Amino acid sequence: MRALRGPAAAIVLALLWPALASAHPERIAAFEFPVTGHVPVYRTTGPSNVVCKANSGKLLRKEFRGQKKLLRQRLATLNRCRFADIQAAINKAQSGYRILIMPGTYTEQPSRHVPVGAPGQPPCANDYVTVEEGTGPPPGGPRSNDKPDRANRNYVIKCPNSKNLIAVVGDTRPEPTPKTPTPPICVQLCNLQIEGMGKHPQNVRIVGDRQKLDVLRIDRANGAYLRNFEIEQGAFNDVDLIEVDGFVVKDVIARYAQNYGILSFTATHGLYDHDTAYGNGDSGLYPGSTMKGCATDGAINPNTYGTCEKPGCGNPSIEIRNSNSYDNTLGYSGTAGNSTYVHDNRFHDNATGLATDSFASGHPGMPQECFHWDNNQIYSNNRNVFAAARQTYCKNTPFALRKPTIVCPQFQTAVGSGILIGGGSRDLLTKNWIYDNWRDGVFLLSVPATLRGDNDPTHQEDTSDQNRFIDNTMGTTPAGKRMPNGLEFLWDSAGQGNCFEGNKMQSPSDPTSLPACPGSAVYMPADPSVLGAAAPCTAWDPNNDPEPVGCDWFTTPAKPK
Amino acid sequence: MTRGRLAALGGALALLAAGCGGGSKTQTTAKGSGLAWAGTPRVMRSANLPRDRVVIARVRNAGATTLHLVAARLRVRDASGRALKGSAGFSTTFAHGLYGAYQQPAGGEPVAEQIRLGKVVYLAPGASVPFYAAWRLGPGAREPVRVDYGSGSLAVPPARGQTAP
Repeated sequence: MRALRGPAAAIVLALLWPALASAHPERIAAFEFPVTGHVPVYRTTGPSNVVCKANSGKLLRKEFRGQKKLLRQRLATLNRCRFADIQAAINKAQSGYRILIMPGTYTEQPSRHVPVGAPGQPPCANDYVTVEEGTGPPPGGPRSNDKPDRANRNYVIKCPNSKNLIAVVGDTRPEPTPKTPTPPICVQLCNLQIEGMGKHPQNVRIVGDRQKLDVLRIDRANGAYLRNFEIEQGAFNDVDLIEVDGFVVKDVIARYAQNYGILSFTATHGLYDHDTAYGNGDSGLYPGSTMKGCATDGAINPNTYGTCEKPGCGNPSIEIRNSNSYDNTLGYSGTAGNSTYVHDNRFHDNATGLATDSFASGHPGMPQECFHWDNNQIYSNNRNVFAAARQTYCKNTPFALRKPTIVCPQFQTAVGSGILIGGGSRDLLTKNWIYDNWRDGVFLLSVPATLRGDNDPTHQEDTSDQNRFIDNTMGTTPAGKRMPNGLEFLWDSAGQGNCFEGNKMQSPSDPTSLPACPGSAVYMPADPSVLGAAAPCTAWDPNNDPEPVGCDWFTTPAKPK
Repeated sequence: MTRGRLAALGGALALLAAGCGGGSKTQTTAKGSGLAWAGTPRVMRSANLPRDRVVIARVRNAGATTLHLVAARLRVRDASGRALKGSAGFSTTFAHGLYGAYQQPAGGEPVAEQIRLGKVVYLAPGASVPFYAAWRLGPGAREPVRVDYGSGSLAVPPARGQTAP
């Protein structure tokens, strides 16, 4: 069965409502299941629409000077240019098309003229859904007077460029019940390839207006292949892939987004390759709500509660390789970032290098599990974006008016940390180089299910099991230079089957003695002193409590000796 | 002794007897009413913030009616009754919100989100929830401190024992 349909689907989805509740704050999303897609392959032939600017020819001649054959090919392509805006070229495309973008700066003026909108205001004034309103039990408690209304799927179908500078909408079927959306399928603009034709990614600049949430949104458009451009200044994301089965983001530079450089959400069969992300207020790369590997082969339904403990982790569902993420609040993050295969990347000079977690509510795919991170360099993540002057600037300056290069942290994280695993299981960290992170190289923390809004008593201890930390080189560069972390591993000691083996270490860990594999056979309780150190950091709020008492995350640790 | 960034300073005391912490304008919770510790509270201090203290514990509604508590309204008071800088929440570990720091709903977070993050709690009689409070002992502040929740207060064990290295 490709997907549930009709009344049965509505009933099932209604029952699944808590698991499908909207995320960070995204519209209500779910995984395609069963999945049938695959990572798309790059194409050099097939139908295409060409986009250009008045100076594209001049730029081509400059970029490809001395490369006559390539220049001739590019100029021939330029001669076919019929569009000045990327969205216009997409609107005239069909599934399987290539969108070839000639060198230049693309601000997408027609899209900019479409108002961003708001509930009750045009465009698409009524295409919102209220989620997570919530009410307290008697006696009546606090109640938000600003309902968290989010644009529903009809919104993006009817007003694609209201909140997105460029939108690729693969599923145009009207949504009869937006609170229980139909399962994703792609009916148009599938297998679209959007490619910059410059010599380098920087030669094709796609510039957000700092008001629309996404600069480029790929929405249920399976098989998207994005390549060789620079994209920046999204009011939420630069690149946003939602409910996509099959995608590649290759040779893309994503910078200066208020939140995420490149984000995929409830997406699978994905590849991030040779990407660069910097200057983003949350994370450079975000493979969140990633399908569990054991769901891709049908072992579990990703839209219901379940883990890969019994069937095994299965195949990775998203691969990230040869990428470079730096100068963000986090280099990588992924709430419910399951089954990611992350290898041969660099995460450096962020506040925290990588974080994956089961902290937040409503992310399909909880709890997080089954990452495989291998042969990455994770270093010098000591960038303090929480300094008092920075927080004051960020608090007083709306995103639209900020200098693009200034990173304003959207969430709190510990300055000086290489990796935070906040509620993960069956994760494998192996053969990485983790050094010069002045607080800790790796922080492993258990997270009770209630913190993600799951109050099922049987789920409360479902994180921090069977994580393995094998053969990592800590505190030393690949060239052999000693650059210690503050602590190598900080662990709250919770869980079952967590183990540490073959790691080369320079600094102490906490606890000082780490269990070898296979680790504890029984679930161990968390050390309250580790939890207690982190608890006050929850209070961080740049408006009311920018430096919470009892939380030292926002002070750059002393450089370890 | 020490674990992580915190060192346990004390932890054996539960409720202090009524009337302790002279000078407080709030009333200490008596057995059978209001909020009480459930189990033993642990008081810790940060290795890097020597004047800061954190207590984590579970708290129980020892009364007969549902308690509606808002963490932001809780105050930690010193032995003189002076409010200390700090925070509290109904959780014993880190959690973070769904909305970015600069993208909060104008009218505040939805109630479900506030409950999830331990910012508010509705505590039925006999029920317990995790709890933390953090405070800074500024110049002249005197221990022991107490957590003032409006209709009563919880006494916190004074700092004692080893400090973090």
